[in-house]
Amino acid sequence: MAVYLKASSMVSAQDTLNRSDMPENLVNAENSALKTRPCNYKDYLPAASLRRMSRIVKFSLVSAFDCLNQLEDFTPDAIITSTGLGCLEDTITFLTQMHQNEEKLMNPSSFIGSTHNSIGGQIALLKKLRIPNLTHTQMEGSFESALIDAMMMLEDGEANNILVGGFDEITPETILLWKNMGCLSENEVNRETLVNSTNKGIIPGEGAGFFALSKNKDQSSKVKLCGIRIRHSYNGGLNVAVSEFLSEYDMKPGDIDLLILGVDGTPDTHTLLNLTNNDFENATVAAFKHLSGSFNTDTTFAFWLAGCAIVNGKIHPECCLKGANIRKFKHVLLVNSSKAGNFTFIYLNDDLE
Amino acid sequence: MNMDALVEELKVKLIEQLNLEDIKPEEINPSEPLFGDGLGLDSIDALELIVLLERDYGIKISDPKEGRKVFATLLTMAEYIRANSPAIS
Repeated sequence: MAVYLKASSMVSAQDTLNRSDMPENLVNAENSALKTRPCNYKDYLPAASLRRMSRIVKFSLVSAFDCLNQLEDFTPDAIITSTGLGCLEDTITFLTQMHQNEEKLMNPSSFIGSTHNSIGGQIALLKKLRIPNLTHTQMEGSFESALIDAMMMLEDGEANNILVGGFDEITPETILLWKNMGCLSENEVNRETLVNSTNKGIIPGEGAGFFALSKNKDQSSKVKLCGIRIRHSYNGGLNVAVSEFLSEYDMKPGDIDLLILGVDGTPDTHTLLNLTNNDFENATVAAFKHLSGSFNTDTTFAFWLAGCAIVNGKIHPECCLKGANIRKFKHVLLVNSSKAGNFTFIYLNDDLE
Repeated sequence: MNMDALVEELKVKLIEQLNLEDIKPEEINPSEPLFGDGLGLDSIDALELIVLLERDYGIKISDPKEGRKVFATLLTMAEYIRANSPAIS
């Protein structure tokens, strides 16, 4: 069984909020990172509640509410969120206070904000949604885990509609840590260097993506989400694993129109490029991490991008590594990877008949 | 520290501790209620104020009824601190 994507919203370093395609003008990394664009939080959130929210809580809630606002008759039966590292800014504040105050006199606000499920909780509180509320945290597989959970709930009939999201943030402290560990890219990462660079580091990014999924197909359905897989190991190579995954949907690599790869410019992700050596001969090949930055839930950006590509029949030229950027994208496959050597596959199509 | 100086200090600490982004110290009326009307603080703010009192003035409030009186206004807070804080002479 498949489920249907009805609305999506992405807050990222690019001007993606309140849009259903990539903006013409793109921004590059500043100070070796891609931070989310500032937005007017008061347009989406009660002004009185803003003072207690950290940046990630604010931009994630904006994404969630922007997604919900796009649909008039979508009442979620569950909220499933995901994050690799949670609300880092509040966590750092809380831990710093714990250290400075010798584990006494802790401030409640930063503790409340530091928990991974604070964003799911805030969505429920502000929208008065007394429904199942879950947060998955599986590092780079967090968003995929949330999607799998949502699909299972929809397939099992536990819910008709689910709001699914993923979010992560960067802070000055995390950038410093990455820099000291030699994990920051020393060179510019763009469309060309993604493929050819010998960078050892990445461009850290952040963002929040929220998606309205439904088991029911109707006029507001935009994309069909057919399947997701997280592979911790595979025999015979990545090509075999991808072919096995696609065969579950009676598909083969040659049927794919758009292949979105999580290449980040480091040799670690060059394995993904090898996918295109023999297979996927009919696919446009695209990348996104040079525009979103790398973060644990950056698949949200690719998922949003895939939905836009199917609906609009085009992707931004700056995403395109190979093939035509304007064409009908009927079958789309996302392949992302993690530092731990895991791979994730997501297959979507435009079959709304 | 005299009363006026303490009130001014509390205004600054209140804004900082409770992250009252849009409020300036001169806009806080020391005689106005802190909770409900006035500044419109809530129960999480009350916990923050209890932490502030203990951390910065060495005063521990454990009786909720006492807290209600102490945190009625900024002025009652200042009066309580002057009467009970070992840090304020």
